[in-house]
Amino acid sequence: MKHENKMKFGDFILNNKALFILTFLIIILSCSSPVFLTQSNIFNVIRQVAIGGIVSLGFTVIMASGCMDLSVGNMLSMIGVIIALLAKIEGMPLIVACLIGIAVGIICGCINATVSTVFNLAPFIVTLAMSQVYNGAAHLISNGKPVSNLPESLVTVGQGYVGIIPIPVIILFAATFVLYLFLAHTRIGRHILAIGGNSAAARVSGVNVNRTKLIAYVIMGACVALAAIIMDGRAASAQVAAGAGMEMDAIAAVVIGGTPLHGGYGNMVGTLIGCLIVGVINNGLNLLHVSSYWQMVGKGVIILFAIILDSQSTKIMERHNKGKMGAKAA
Amino acid sequence: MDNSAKTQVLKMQHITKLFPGVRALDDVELELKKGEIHALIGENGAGKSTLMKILLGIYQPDYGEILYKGEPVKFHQPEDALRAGISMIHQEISMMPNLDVAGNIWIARERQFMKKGLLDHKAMHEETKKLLDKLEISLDPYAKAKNLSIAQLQMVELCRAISYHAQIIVMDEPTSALADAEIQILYRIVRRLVREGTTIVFISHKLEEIFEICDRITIMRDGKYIKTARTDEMDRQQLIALIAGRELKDLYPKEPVVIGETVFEVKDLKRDSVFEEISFDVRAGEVLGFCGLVGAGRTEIMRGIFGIDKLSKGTISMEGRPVEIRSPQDAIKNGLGFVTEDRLRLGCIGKLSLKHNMTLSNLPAYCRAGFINGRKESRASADMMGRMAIKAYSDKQLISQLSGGNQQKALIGRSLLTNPKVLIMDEPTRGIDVGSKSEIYKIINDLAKKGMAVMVVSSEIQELLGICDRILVISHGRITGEFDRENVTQTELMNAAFKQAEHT
Repeated sequence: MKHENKMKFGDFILNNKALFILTFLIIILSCSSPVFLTQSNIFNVIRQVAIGGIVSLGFTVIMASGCMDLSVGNMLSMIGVIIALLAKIEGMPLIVACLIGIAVGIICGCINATVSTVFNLAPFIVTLAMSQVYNGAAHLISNGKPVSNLPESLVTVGQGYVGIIPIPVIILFAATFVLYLFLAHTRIGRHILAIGGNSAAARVSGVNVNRTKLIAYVIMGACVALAAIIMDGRAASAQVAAGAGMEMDAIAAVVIGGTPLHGGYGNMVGTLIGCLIVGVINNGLNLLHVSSYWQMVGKGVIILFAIILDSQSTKIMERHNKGKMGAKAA
Repeated sequence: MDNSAKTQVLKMQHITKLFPGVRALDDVELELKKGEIHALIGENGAGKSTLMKILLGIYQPDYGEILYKGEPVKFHQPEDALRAGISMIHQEISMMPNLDVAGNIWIARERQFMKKGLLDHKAMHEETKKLLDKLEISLDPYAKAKNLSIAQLQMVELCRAISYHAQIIVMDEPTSALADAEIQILYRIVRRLVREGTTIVFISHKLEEIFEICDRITIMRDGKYIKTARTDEMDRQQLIALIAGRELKDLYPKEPVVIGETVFEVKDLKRDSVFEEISFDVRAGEVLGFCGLVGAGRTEIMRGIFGIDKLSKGTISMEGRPVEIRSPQDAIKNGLGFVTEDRLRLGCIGKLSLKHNMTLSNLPAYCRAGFINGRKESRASADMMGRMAIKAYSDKQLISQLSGGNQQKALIGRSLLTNPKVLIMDEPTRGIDVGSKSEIYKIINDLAKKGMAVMVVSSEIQELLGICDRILVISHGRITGEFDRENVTQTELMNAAFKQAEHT
């Protein structure tokens, strides 16, 4: 009986390990630095991670469906450039520029998905190749030069506030909520989890696997576009290499947050927490005046730690569940 | 050579193997003599491969012992059996396609050919040539595995077994993928091996083959040992009777059902090289059984009907109207349901809960504007859980944690939630405990009473005779018999299942 209780608490920790890690970090950093737990610092952290965070949220959908998208970083740079250039056009309403940007994101998602399914290629390779295409496109469109002097309206999206809360923070939380609802409570969200869990079985059950994959990639594209809008605003410019390497951070946050790499399960809130963990650690190391090079090392170590913890916790869960089943059979 | 004079090389006795809920082997014995070709025969699920896996060290017996050359042995892992001289040639031969014959034979044992840290290819290939010559096989040791035919790959496997100084070689359905000429070559090699004292165990469904080449036959049924006899002391009819026959026990709750109009009809279904000229119909309230051996094509026919695989030709009609089925989605929309035989790979989505697994095919019914109504879904799931008597402490449990029987019921539940008019069940009770089996039979009966047309594919003839109204027999991709349950015997069904249609 006691053993069962101990395992229940252990279960709870393993299922919510991201939250525990975050809490643990917050406690430690609050003690180490008086500046950490202030309103301005907290909002700063969240605003830092908003861009990567929205990409990570889209990535959660991709991972839950068992797919992969390595083109998001360069896609972000390209869309950032497109939106910036559009926004600068005389008389162009910001909303139209943004909608066109999102449309571009959706088209990129369609391309990623369609090339994989039609030619039956691993998405890993297809998106890797498309990544270079988007990179080239970004350079072509911008002539290799950053786009600056962006209109006030666009800059406000990245740097403005609603009351005391920065706009990117609002967008981040809104996106988390919407995508959580999508994955957990819609039919298509359920289909995405099904194909990620076992796409052959999903197909036999009547799920249109190809169409579902397409939707996952389209959502990813739309998220990337949304993140690009915020990034343009925050930096007040669009840089050609702004998003490079972002897919790595996204994967890290998703895995830390508890979504497994192989699909079938997606923890949207966990991803948000994963982003916060990375943001908090970066912020903490900054406040403690640790060199930025050590910060790079630190980030890698955290990702490793999270993945190891994830695999070990799966093992522990399996052993525990086998024990449960064995006891039942006896 | 007089069989009785040969010495005993292997004796397995009182072998019992238990799996959760299933007694796979029950007090089985097997005796092999040195230098004989011994057939191991039985229906699907009789326990042949489980017994061989124990012999090869892949499984451990729960009870029983193995005496090898007079000494008791315990094989804890396949390497132990290999080193002792017992090896197996599987039905699905796995080779490294990019390595050559020599490389495949000596894989993981290259150390004996190492000279000063480098692999001596010449020595390895010479040794290989010696093996090939010993069996009078004309193969080039440098030939790449990916360029060899299945027959040639089998010969490479035989060489590999010999290189382990195998005294007992188990061959699982060795001629199922061979043409006649190649079969003769295989027989020649096998006879040669046997002359030199190797013992061969032949697992085969081809009765003609067994009578042609085997010295003795051991028959198994339902995990039990039935009999061992000399081939020349038995005839085909006796053999079939032993493989199939026993009293039809009354564990099938078949009640009389009023059978209605034709609900489902297929004409001239064909899938190139897999099946052809498949035509039949099913009526409301009728249970139509599909009998046949593994590989006969029954599952493939069902997959073709349900839109999982593409048909080369043929028409399908639902309640008189022809329907176009290009995917499982189409099939479900048209009132078909399908419960797969492959629970693990095509059935259960392990990471999803029992509830989510069951409702997957029917989600639109619980949705409004794309959003799932949690309460509707939970109600449907709870209802079905009760109807199927699924034992789990909550439908939020992961389906992978349920027993095989409960998983099977969940998959049936998934199909039933879509309210099909025609339900296809492929091996619905495979690998399931007896208790769950009879519950599933009851479910099938209830469905028939409610007017559903049910098609059941099964490899257990007893089961088909117990629950079906009519039985079709499939062999080599064609219908070789159609019987009413009232007038047919197990023997007739077995005969039709073993029948090899004339090659056109």
